[in-house]
Amino acid sequence: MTLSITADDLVLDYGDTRALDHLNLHLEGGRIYGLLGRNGSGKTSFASLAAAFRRPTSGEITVGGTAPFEAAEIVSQICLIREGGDVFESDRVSSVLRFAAAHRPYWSEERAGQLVERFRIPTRKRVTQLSRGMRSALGVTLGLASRAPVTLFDEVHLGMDAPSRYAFYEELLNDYLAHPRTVILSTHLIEEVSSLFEEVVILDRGGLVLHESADDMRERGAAVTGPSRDVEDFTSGMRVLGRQTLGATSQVTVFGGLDAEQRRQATSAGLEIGPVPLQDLFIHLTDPERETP
Amino acid sequence: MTAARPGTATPATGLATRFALASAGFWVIVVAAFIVIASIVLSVADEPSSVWQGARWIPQYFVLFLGTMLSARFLPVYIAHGVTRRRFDAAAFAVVLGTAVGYAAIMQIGFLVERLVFRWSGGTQFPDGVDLVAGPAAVVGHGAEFALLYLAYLVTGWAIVTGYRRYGGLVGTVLLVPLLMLPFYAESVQWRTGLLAPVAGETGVRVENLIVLAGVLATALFIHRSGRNLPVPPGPAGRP
Repeated sequence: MTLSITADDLVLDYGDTRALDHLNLHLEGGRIYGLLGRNGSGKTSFASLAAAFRRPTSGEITVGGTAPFEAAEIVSQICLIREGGDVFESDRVSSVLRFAAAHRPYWSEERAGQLVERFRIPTRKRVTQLSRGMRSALGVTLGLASRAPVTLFDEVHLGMDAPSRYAFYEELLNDYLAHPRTVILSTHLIEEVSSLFEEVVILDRGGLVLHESADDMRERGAAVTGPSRDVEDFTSGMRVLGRQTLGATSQVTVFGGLDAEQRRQATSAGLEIGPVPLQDLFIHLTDPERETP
Repeated sequence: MTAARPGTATPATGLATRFALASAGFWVIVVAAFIVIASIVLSVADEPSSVWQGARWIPQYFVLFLGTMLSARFLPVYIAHGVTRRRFDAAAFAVVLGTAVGYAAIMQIGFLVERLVFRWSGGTQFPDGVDLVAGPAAVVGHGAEFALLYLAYLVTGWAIVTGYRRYGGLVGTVLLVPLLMLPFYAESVQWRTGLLAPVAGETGVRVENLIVLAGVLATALFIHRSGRNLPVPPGPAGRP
């Protein structure tokens, strides 16, 4: 079962601060989305509205065609995992898992057990006694084992060490392939996780900057590598996102796809054309100096 | 990690369990303290009277605290686990009602046990005031008054945090004044003492209790109206 998410002229204000500014967005069900944005861009606000954690100021958000706020049949299908975990912190981990099992209609006890073992989460300890990394692992476990048709992870893996994060990515992908659902990953660790994304959504200042497939987004730029002088000549006049030089060799990241003729010229000049890191494109697209996407 | 069937739990069960566990700890401490104090009073005082009556005011402040936990700690975690505010409110009100009745029952059982001790020792349990356990009707009648008192404190604690969460610090603080009128009045009705005793004394006991009941219902309505838009706070929910 998969559910789509649609934001229609969505606005969310916190007092005088506008977190989401007339956002329009449609996310098809059954895909893994990367929700990217700088701090304060509206990622968490969007996730909170999708999970019915709060009500929009105006506009509408729907999950599977229904506004989720106070819609019992929909909210049970949505699982938003935040870094804090949203659990009873004085409870033991085993109680937290029992509580989730009792309220999540698609809960997989077997999956929860596998993840507890993989992340070595001590089930007898209280949540307050867990390290930040272990709390993140607990959040990941709750999110994956919930098997909710819409599962959102909001910066949940930031506290994990590198091996645990890669274990999370692996487990997420395996679980998604076995049980397709709508997964939204909000993260700052873009390069690390970008291979998981099927589609990328970039928010900035509460609005939508970009929503397209991860492959299409990568084709928005190119990394040109070769002798420094040749690279400079080739990229002259192009919009440069980044430049790295090692000895006589340079790699310049440019924004905008290269056509067949440009690629032929580059090859004949002995230059290599490679994909652009998603993170570089993200930085460029959310550059405060930049006026339009 | 075993659940009977995933996703089938009702919020009332979990809330009742949490309230029961917290209450069990509370009552163990209160009863232990009572036994110690009663032993001293019965052996030292010339004309000992009810010691349990001295403990009557403690539960009301504890249930006020329990009430605050509903919006502050429990609601955000339940919402994060796919429970609607409406469903949570209904479950919480049932648990609040049960807690008030349970605490009232414990108070009356305490008086009955104490009555046995006084009969055995030959003392007078209530030399000055109303005999709260004079007979079956008194046990039930005064028990109902206790339940009403605790209900007033429970819903007030719940409403105070709901007010702060919904309307912010300034309005939440201003709301303290009308919200606290209910428990103060309920206490004055019950004991003919306290801030609102002169007001409480102007009507008959039955009418006064109906006023408390109306206050409880009005506070519950406030919680329902204010709580239906309550957001989950940005930080981690469920922090003690």
